[in-house]
Amino acid sequence: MYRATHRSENAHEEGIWSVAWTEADNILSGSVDERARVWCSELAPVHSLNGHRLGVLSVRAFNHGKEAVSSSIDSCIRFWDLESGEQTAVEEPGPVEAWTLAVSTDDKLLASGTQKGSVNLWALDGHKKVASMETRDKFVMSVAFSPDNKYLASGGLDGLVNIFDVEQAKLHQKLEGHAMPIRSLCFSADGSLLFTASDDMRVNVYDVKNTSLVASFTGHTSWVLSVDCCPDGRHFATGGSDQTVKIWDMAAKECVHTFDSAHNNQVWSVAYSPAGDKLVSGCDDGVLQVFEKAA
Amino acid sequence: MSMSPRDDDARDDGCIRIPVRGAQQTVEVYTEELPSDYNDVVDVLKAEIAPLDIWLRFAVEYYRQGSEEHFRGILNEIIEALTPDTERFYADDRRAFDVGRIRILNALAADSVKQASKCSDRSARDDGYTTALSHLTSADRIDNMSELTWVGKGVFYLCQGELDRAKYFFENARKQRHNFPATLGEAAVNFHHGNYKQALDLYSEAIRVNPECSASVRVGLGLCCYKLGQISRAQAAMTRALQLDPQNVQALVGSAILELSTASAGSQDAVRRTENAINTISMAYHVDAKNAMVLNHLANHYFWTWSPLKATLSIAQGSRSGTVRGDLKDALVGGDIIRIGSGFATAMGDEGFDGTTLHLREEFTEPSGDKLKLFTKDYRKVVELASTAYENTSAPEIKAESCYLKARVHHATGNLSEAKLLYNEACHLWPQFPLAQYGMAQMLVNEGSIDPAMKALNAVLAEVPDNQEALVLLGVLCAKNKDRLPALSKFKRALELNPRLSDAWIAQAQVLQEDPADHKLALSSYLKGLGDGGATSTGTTFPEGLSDRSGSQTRQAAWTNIAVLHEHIGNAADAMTAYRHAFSEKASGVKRTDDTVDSDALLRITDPANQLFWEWKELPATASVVEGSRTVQTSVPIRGALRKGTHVRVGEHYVTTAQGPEKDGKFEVADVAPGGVDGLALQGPLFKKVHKIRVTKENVSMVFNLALLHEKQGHHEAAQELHKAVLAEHPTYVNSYLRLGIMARDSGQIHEASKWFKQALEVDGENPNIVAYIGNLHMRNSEWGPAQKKFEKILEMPGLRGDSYANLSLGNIYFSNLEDRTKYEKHLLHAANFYHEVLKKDDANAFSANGLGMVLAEKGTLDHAKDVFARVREVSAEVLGDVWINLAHVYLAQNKHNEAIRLYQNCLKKFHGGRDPSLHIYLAHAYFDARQYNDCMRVLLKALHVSPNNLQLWYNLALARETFAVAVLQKEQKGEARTLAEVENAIEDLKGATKLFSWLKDCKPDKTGGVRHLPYDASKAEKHAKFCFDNIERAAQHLNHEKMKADQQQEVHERHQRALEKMVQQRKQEEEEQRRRQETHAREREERAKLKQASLDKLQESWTTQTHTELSKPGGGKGGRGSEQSSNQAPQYESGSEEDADVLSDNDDDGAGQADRYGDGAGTSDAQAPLLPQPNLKDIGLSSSSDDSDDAFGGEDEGEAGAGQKRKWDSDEDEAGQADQTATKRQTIEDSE
Repeated sequence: MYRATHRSENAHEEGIWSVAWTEADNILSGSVDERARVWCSELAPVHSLNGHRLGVLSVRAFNHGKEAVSSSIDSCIRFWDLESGEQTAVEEPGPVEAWTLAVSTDDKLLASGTQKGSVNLWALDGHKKVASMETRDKFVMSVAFSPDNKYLASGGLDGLVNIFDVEQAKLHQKLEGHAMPIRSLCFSADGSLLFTASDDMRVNVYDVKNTSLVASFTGHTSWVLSVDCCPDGRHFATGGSDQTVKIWDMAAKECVHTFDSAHNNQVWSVAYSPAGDKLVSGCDDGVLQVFEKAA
Repeated sequence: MSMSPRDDDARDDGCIRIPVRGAQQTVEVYTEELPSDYNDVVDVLKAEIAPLDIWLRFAVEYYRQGSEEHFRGILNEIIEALTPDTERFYADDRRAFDVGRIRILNALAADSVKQASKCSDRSARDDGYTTALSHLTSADRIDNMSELTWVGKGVFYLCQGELDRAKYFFENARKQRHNFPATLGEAAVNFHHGNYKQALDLYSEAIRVNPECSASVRVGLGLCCYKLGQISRAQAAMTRALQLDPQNVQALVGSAILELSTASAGSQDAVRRTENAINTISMAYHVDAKNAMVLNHLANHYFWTWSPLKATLSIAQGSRSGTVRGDLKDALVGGDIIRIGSGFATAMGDEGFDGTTLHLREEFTEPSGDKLKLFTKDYRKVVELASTAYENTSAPEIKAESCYLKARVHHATGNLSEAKLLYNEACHLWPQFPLAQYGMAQMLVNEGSIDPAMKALNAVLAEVPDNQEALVLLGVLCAKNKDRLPALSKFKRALELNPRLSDAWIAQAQVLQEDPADHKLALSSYLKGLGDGGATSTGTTFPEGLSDRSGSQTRQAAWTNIAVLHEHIGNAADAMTAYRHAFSEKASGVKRTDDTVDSDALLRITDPANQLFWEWKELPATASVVEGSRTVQTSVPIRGALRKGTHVRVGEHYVTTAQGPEKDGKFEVADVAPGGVDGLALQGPLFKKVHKIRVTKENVSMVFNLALLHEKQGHHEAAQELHKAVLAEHPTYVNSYLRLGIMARDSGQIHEASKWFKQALEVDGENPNIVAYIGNLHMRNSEWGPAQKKFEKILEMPGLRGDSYANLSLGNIYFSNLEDRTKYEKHLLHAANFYHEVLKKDDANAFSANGLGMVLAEKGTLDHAKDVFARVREVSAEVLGDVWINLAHVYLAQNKHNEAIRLYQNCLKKFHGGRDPSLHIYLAHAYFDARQYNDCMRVLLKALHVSPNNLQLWYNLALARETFAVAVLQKEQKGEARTLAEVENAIEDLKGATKLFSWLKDCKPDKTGGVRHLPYDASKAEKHAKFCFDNIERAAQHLNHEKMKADQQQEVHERHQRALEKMVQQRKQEEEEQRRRQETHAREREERAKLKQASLDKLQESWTTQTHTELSKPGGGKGGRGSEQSSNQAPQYESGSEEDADVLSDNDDDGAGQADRYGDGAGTSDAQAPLLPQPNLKDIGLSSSSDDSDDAFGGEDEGEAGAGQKRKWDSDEDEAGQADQTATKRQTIEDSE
């Protein structure tokens, strides 16, 4: 079972929109207060990553754990050296040409959804845009790479899920099930399942190979804002507008724990540690909370 | 008849002697040989002019022998014969003559009274009493002080129920001396008055004075003792009465009643005593087979007695027929009541008995049994006995009892119309008969005649004020009539009398739960009704008449209501526990199903949250699955156990769905197995999900309520599958369609929602709620035309002309369609009319008051509108978020920014969980007006994070950035302080705004949402883009200027620094010098101790002057402006960059000029240049001036419709949801009755 441990009451001046956990065991957070921050796993501050003009939408770590990338509402993508806390590069692809981010597990590609409903791909070596993959959706809210980087999944404002073949930069398949925005999605550790979190208060689970809906989890009483799969392959975590963080058992197909007093506002983002024994959540009231698996 | 000498002493030797006139002889008439024709006697008596007492003796003797006619004949003869002519024959003994006459008249009166009281015919009865009265009056005329007549009058009034008058005469009769009959009469009066103690004393007195008195006096004494609770004394009295007269029927019956009343229920003793009692009554029956009281008692006995049949029954649980062994022959017919074994009672089916198979009306719910004993009730005998009793009595009370007994039989066998007739007759015969009144009340309740039933129950309570059943039933009826307080007082009284009345607790809870303030009381009342602490009641506390099964249903309904109450109070977990109790009640229809059923049936309910309904069943095989595989291997074939869709579990944790039947020891599953431990194959016993509880007609409302709880807790899957299961069993359960529709709608599945609503409409096309939901769905999609049609359809339905919801919706539809200027006036008027229509019927309707406020605002009468909104908010702030917004709009329009901001913020927090895009727009607008640009932008960012596709938000963000930048750049001109960082950000903002405007000018409207045009003017976007771009250049100069300023400041700072350092150095030097001087001075003092003070002063003065001169030096170099300017550091900058500033201000002028045109002006006058989200203002009526405002933010039409109204729909739906619940609650309550 998990229990709430470390907590930072005023991690940010305003709401936290994005959290990530690096391979180097740092926690990253991005906020509407125009800052990203680096923390140690006990939530002692390490760096403040300053430079974004408008709110920080998304912050993602490279898999080698030494660098990170963040995006803001003005579609600025900034690259950071996590050891020094210095900005190493900035890209400005143009208005609403970048929303939330995903970094491929081999650290070669960066993906982000756009206002037009396409997904932009950049090569991280040289920061060149290498592809813009079309969907017929309105707005791509969320993107995720499969663990083998073969696929990229995107979640749209209309509730549509697209899976792209990354190598060919082409749409692979469409998945239906939601009719409201998908703000977060992630692949299971083995890549076989895709989890989508939607405003319709559900988390849908799709079998990637069969493109079938395997399960639909309900239990949040409002929008599900974030979903992250545990590296143990058995659990996943969600955060929602109902101010709760929930832990689910994929095998038993039920919610196994609900943290309903850790936060007093919408939980915008949750992220597991690389070992899967810890979880961090970021909330609209500026609080960061770490949960740890009890022995 | 024979002649014999006169002998007055020989009166009681069995003969009456008539003195022969004028002789000493007498004529002897033996009482055993009375002539059959009394006229023979009359002739002799007349001829001999017999004394009057002789006449009376003959008459009484005839009466004693049952010839009442002769009695009357003889007495009437003598009364008629007495004329003034004949009276002279008796003149010799005037006194004896008078006494005789009085006695005769009294005897006749007593006879008339007796006859009259037996009469059921009213006029005959009245005739009887009239005759009696005339006899008594005649007697009075002879002697108005005669005790005998007094007693006669007492009896006369006693029989007519005039107890007080009767008492008066009896008391007077025995005033002078003891009068035995008067004592008995007064005892009877007291008994009837309920003064048992006095009655007992009088009976005791009568017996003391006259120990030889008849058995019936002792019966009276016994009854008094019984009433006073002196049971053993009562028994002694009855026993004594029976010793005196072993055939005294009243004594026999009394003794039987006493025997029964002392039998404590259930004991061995009771059996014995009951047997004794029935033996006693049987004896009475033998003595007098026509004694109605006895017959009724016997009938009552048989009504309650189960008599064994000479047969046994073998029957299985759940079956409706069984095999009979033994002889039943004609013992039973269809409809007869039978008991099987010790506990299960039902009626025999109408199919009857064919020799071997016995059919039952209900399923046998006890465990299957072989050769179970059979019992029946001999209702025919009950009816027979009661009918005989009825025929053999004239006492209305006893007749009433007979009717009542027959009514009970019909009642018990379900023949309610016959039962009602009989109860009714019983009530008429004896209006004070509480049991009959209660039975009548039950019949009236059954046919729905509530008020007459209440009257009957009040009649019961008038007789027995503490009758618990009547109190409870009356309470229930009061509750039905919505008389809450009377209902509660009845229950309270009943429960004070008997706190174990579980049905009263439950009925009380049902009344309490109607008021949310009493929910907690209702809860505890339910729990008391169900037994302590909510433990499952055993049913023994239920009053008789509630069979175990209906008791179980009552408990089930009670648990369901408890669950709903917990839910309302907010204890979701307790609610769930209550549902668990509800479903675990052994009610008919909720039971385990056997395997043959479930293997074929589709398992509809599978969600983990619905674990009440399903369970894991272990299959006779183990299974293993490799990580990442979708194929499960089984250890042995499990033919037929699985099929596509079967939920299976491998080991403890892996749950999945079979994709098809098992074949060759393998089957496919829906999703891949998760990792086993250390990569080992997942292995373990194989389970499949099977039904535990099925949804049935009986539990359907419970299931529905549980689904509502799931929905509230976010378990939508669980809720949906329950609703679908409800509909599979009950395709007309409209509320389930509606909830499914609402859930689909709320998760964005509009098509699905519409499908459910339409299905509901197919079931109940005339249900206005369904039509309203469909109309509401159209409104959400801005499909105004179809929405309008739906609500108009509701208004056309019978009785719904003034339906609030429909009128309100139509008002909102018109209010949402004010775009078209040509129809503006018309639509606004329509909207106002519809809102008025609602208020006509319901003047407290906050929604329509809010609507009217909007109309007022739209017309520009802002103060009026504000008043309306403020009042609505006071009344219904908790439910109606719109009114906060509308009020805020008005404040904003009146430039009260802080008030507006506060209201918007509160509303966001309170009603929208902080994430309503249109509210964000309003709030941003308010901040913008208040020139709090940073706050404005932050709100817009939060809104964009939630709704990034909202182009209006982007446009507003661009405009806010532009305006903010311009404001920063203009600060200089206005003499305000600004920083380099601010200017840098301003340039950043201008760059960002340029990009955004350039992008926005090319954006296409998002047509999928039914939006035809962009929420802004693309050409304006283009102009803004150019403006921003141009200003970036100019702003660069600001930046240079600012940088220069910063450099200069740096320089000044450095200069100051240097000066400071220098000064510090000088000071140090001086101090050093002084120190040295002081040392010198000290030395000089030492040397010349008489140094003058003045010289010291001089020295010090010279030091101070020196310091001053040194300090002024740094500033002094910069012209003559003096040291006062050095304190604020400004002069250098001013003087040093005067030229630059001029250039800049020129630029500023240009910039400001343009900015004014494009937006800066908006900051000062919202009505003229609404920089702000115009739509919101339009909401409240500022839009009339917006035609000429070229920079309108474009109306966010949906937002507009939403602001004033969307919440309203939400709230209304919540109400509808509540209605659902209360409807169901009501249903369960009805079920329980």
